[in-house]
Amino acid sequence: MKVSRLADKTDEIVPRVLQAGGEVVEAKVKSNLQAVIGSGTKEESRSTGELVGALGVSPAMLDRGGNFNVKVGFDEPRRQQNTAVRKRSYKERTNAMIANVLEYGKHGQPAKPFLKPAKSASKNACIEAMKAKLESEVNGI
Amino acid sequence: MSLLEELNTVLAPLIPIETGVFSGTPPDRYLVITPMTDTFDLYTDDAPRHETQEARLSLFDKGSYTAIKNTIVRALLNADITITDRRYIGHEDDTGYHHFAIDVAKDYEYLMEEQ
Repeated sequence: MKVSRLADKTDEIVPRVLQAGGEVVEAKVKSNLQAVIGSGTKEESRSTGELVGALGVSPAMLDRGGNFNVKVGFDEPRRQQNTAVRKRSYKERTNAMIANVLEYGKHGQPAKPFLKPAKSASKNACIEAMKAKLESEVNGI
Repeated sequence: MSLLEELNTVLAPLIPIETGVFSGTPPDRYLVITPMTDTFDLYTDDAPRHETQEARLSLFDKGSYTAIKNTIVRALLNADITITDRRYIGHEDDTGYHHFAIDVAKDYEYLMEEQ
């Protein structure tokens, strides 16, 4: 009986479980990002906090393979871009581009990886959070 | 032995290499190692016994990077270093360098007593 109820509610439970895991990863990405922004810059940092503010977890969506997934990433556009809609500068500086330069660096700018270390460091905690959430959801049926 | 030591030993004969940032005037082709994480994965007797060290290799090349990239990858694999990601980041129009990233990892025994 419980198993059949679980089967009926899978599409409700899975997004909540993924959300719980996504929040763990997001917290780690955020703390790593805050640590690397403005560190070791040649000039005084002019960080506005916009990149950190744009970080978030997407709602759980079905992909082409029929699997639910969530993404930890950056919202667009940046505030400055909102005022530049339909101007040439509109797509110049996206959060994704800034995050990419931080993560991988460039010639003359050392990489300050924050995403990959967050993935490695939060993997076990993420799995545990999802297991705990799944258990509580199953018990709540 | 650490991953950084191994990477320097394996790759220094192939390409100019530095850790963190390339000091001085960089050549047309060089490699920068960025240490990423050291994680404890396995425990016994309430103590970590095993750690995974990860690093990112950033290859910068003003010419064709394919041959040197393949040489680096083969050298890493021959040294039992795991490659977790390989990615062309792009051509930097302002500097003229192609940028290719290789993420690597290796497991090491973790000794509780300092050697």
